[in-house]
Amino acid sequence: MLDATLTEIPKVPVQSLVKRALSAHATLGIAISAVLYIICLSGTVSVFKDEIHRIEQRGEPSVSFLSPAAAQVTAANGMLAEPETAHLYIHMPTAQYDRAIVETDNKETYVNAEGVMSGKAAHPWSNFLIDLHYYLHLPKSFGMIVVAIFGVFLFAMSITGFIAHPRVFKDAFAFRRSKSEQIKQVDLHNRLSVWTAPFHISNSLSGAMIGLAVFSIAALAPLKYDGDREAVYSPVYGAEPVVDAAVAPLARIDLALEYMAEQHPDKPVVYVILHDPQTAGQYLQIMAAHPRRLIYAEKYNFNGQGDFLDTTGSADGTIGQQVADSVYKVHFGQFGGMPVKIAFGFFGICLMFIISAGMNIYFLKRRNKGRAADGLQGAWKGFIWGAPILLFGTFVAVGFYPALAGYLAVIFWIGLVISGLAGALTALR
Amino acid sequence: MTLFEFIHGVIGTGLSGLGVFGLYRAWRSAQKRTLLVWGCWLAIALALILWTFSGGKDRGVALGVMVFIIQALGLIAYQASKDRKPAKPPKPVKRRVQAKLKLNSHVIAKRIGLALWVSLGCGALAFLVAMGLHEVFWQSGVHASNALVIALFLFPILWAGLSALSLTSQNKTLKLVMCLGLALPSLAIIMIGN
Repeated sequence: MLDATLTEIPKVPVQSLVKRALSAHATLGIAISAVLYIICLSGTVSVFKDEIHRIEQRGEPSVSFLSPAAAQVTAANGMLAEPETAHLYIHMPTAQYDRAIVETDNKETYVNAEGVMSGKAAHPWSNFLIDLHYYLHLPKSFGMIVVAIFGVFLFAMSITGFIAHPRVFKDAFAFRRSKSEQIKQVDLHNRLSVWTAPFHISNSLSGAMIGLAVFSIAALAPLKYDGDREAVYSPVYGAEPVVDAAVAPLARIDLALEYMAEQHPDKPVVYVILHDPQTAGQYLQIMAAHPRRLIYAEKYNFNGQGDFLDTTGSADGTIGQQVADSVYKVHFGQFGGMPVKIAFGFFGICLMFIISAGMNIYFLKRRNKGRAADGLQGAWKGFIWGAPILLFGTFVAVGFYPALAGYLAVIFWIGLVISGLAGALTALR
Repeated sequence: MTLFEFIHGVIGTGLSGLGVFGLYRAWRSAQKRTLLVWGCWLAIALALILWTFSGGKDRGVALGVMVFIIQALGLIAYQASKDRKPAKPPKPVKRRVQAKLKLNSHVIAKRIGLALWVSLGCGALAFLVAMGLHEVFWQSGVHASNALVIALFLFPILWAGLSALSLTSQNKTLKLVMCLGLALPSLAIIMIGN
């Protein structure tokens, strides 16, 4: 009797792992593709941030080298412009970006090779682009978490994609262009996904790690560091010294740079950071690139008199320090000059093709099942083409009409909605 | 770039090219060529080692990986160019129309529940486990920087893994056991450690 009752219970059909993974992959894909496409597109263009800066502000002086004396003048001029600043930064010219910039808490100004102030740094389109990639133009702390969550799901898509692909090796080079549109799109999606996996896995994880760090820091600060959030990072990036607000002469940046030139001539200085300038507790950090490493830069620490103290350990400290300092260059492809940037741009375009092909497969499958979604497919097409056109359009528009600088995000998002609607209406006509 | 670095880069590029081409031949062949496949992977591994001499220990590996990705994509482009379109367009196939899934309140509630679980539940669980593991590393004397960076990376990895598992697994008992098995020990470790 009991057996008979049990057999009568309708069972949920058991699917194979591959089918379930494919279904999970499709579910995730449909949920995140549109926003992920925007993040990938903006990230791909962001790789060329330095080049875009140069186009945005063409008239500023080209600086191939900023001497220690000129750097000292630069710092003094920066302090004159904003005496109350808590931090002073000098962006040193590099092989990739021949501009020098002095930055205080509220001002950012180009300087010439003598350290004399030039024009105010204004990169409205680059800022719009970076805000789109980092925050989707949402409030910063919230937007960064949202973008990070998309990174998590991109990684989850990689996992489900690999599980759903049992012939991953056998088909690794198959591209059946002569077959049906669906097979063509499947091959495009799978081949690009598999071979560019090292790129999109490292990028999704590094992006997600940066954006979600805020949660870990918020939890660890009260548990381990008496609520001091900055202290959580100190084992990785070093601690800021104790503030001593007594007035003191400006730190000897020139002596520190001379020390670097003598002791580390093979490590180009990329940044000078002065904490609490013109106070007795001022603290100088010279960030020098290690050209054969993925780390952004090692921080060489100096006191206000320009005497070398120690390094933070990004280059030779713990594995954790080295990994943390490598995240930026790995994410943005900044570790091999223009060839690597072009390769990252190419991989970014591949990722956009992967997303686009994934959605095309979904629409084709629906059509084959007799459930075509023409309007939605049209909207997707409008979106796919609209986003890069809008990016380019806003770039050109702000070049001609600088007054548009404050409206770039509004123009972009409204334009995206219009392009999606236009695509849908065209498809339904 | 020194001559030493250049030569190692060139040999590394050649070796990874050979490795990728060998894989292309092996995987497109009807016969099973296990030895060739292993040989090709070995060639790619050697190429990465050579790239470390050319580009630096970590940067060199990254450059080497990029090179073999581009080589593989080049072969795929070649394969696509060989596979020309047929002279005649394919015959249209009549498909059967599948019934549309009825969206009743139960289906909608189930989908919303799954979306919430994957986006919030898995995230919270992954966060708890990452913090628990951080506590384990902290207590076992791992340097604070290493413990922090491991926890920072584990959080998204676990979240993605749990989401993938939640969406692929049909076994509700397994999911429940997994959640409790991960959440309770993590919580206990955090409470004991602090």
